Amino acid sequence: MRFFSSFWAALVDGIVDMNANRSRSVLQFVGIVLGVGSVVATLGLIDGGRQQTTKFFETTGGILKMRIDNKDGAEVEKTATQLNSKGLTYDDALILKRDGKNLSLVEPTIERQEMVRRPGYEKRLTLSGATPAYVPMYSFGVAEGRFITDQDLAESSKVVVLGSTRRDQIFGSENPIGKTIQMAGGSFTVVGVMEKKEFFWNEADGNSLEWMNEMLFVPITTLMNRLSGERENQKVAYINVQVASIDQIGAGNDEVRTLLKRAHGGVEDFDIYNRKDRMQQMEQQGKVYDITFMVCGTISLLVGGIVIMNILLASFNERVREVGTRKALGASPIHIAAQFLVESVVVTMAGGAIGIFTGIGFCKGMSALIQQPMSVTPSMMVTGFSCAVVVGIVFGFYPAVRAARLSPVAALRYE
Amino acid sequence: MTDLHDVSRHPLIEIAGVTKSYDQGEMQVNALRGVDLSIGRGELVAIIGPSGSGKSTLMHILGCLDQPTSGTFRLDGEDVASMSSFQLARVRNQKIGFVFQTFNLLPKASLQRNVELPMLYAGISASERKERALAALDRVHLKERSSARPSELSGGQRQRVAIARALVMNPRLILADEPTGNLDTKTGNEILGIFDEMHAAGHTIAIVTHDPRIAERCDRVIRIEDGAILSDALRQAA
Repeated sequence: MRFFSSFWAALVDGIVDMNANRSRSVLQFVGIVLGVGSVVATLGLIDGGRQQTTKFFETTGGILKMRIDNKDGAEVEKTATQLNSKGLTYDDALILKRDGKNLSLVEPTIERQEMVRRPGYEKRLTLSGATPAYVPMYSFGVAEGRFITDQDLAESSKVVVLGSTRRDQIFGSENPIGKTIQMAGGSFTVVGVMEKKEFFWNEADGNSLEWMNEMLFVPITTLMNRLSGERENQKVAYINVQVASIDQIGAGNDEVRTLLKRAHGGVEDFDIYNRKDRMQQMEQQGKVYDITFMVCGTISLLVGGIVIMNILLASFNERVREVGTRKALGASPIHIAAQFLVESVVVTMAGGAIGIFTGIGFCKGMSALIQQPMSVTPSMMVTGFSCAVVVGIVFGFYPAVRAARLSPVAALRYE
Repeated sequence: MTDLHDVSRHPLIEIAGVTKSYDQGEMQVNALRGVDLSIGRGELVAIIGPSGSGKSTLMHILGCLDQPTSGTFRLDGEDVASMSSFQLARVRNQKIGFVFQTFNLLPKASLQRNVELPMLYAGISASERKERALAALDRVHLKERSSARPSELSGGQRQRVAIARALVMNPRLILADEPTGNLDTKTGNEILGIFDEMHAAGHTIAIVTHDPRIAERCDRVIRIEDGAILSDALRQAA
């Protein structure tokens, strides 16, 4: 008990002593503040980037979405069955919808270039033939009016829903609902306008989802039946499906492949893009940057640690006689080591605490500069702080042991 | 442990056949070549000798700052020669009070904190430390200046603080190394006066010096030369 109270007293003594040598401590402090600051900032920016990726996927329908595309076989000479397969069709979508047990949404899309006319407006634009599932599939809501309904599909109605940019281009400040547009020989009634979709990876790049605002939606059946006039030709550009839960991504993938292969007479003339894989791929690429950033942060912290050790060693000589005196008065090697160690640990703890705020500041500055979002979570603060304390112990250890092992006679004689 | 009654019948210091040698490069320096010495409780002893005689080495061994190369050393009945550095630290803390030629106070700490330092290593509570530090400073007439820094004091006052620090643990032995070496004659005499008072109060004191005038004031003078005791004489009562 006596030893512990004397040990504690030696710790307190070390702190008092530190206060007496303020300029020495301030230098060490600054080294650690910057080190911890850069670690926290690094972690914050890395995490900010990762959240941005996740958010992008969420804005466009989440990771439960899978996209099925047509694939042209690489073979120059195709077999009869390959030639017989028409690729992805509206019927495929209906099969997936009927038989896909893991699938919660199926959304086939046809795209066709058509002349779009209105008094004072004439332009060749891409029409998208879609189904009501488009809205939940892309988390793409309607701002005014309504989207395409099942009734529209059944009746192949001549209705159109505008992307927000197209609405502005075609109608300006007019209310477009109920107005008509001439497209490919037919007269289409505007029944709705989509919400504006926005996502900025960084300010300089512009809205990476602007293409969604430039869409013109018509019922997929209308596009197939009325415009093309070829009932046979039901080819769709792509089909998006969504599985019910993350656990079903793998099963959904296999199910889609099995169902479509059967429908296509055994020919696999399609690709399935799984967003989970895509996201993992992006994270893999991101890891290279993460590692680079972390190395930079760690190096700064090490430099801070070396500053501490350097200052402890530089001030060592002027403290040798003091160590001798303390030993003569009864300080054990442990007392001396504790006194030295507490100095570096207290400095790094204080530096670590302030460094967290510096790191948040760095992060805010950096994110304003490079237009990247940032986020500093409590766990990052804990990480930064613990790093600082570890650095304090590691780099304070050598000077502390050296002081503790000094022979009292040599220390007292030191000039 | 030996029984207390027995311990008190032993002399405070019993040294037999102590040698100390250092390797200095290729040369071996024999600082002490077989010293036998016994100092009783309550004695005021001067250890004198020219520089290089080995008196500093003897003082380091007496103060448990260093270990003899061979020989035995019993302090207060304890065999000190075979102790670890941790045990020696405890012995220095509990049984020995040091007074140095250069005072060796912590320059940035107050007088009170300087005097408290040995008690800190003994694990004594803060309130008791304060009380005892102030009492010790009172004994050297510096209680009112307890919050001053050493740099605000004269040399003699600093040495008085160092004496207060040496006394505060109630040590068995007070070991003074040239305590007046950095002081003028008048101040030096004041310091020696304090040692006389302490001696009268029953403390055992050993003063290491090369100054024959200090030796004259002591009961017993041990003269060292070439690492051995040349003479060990009791001063005749005047």
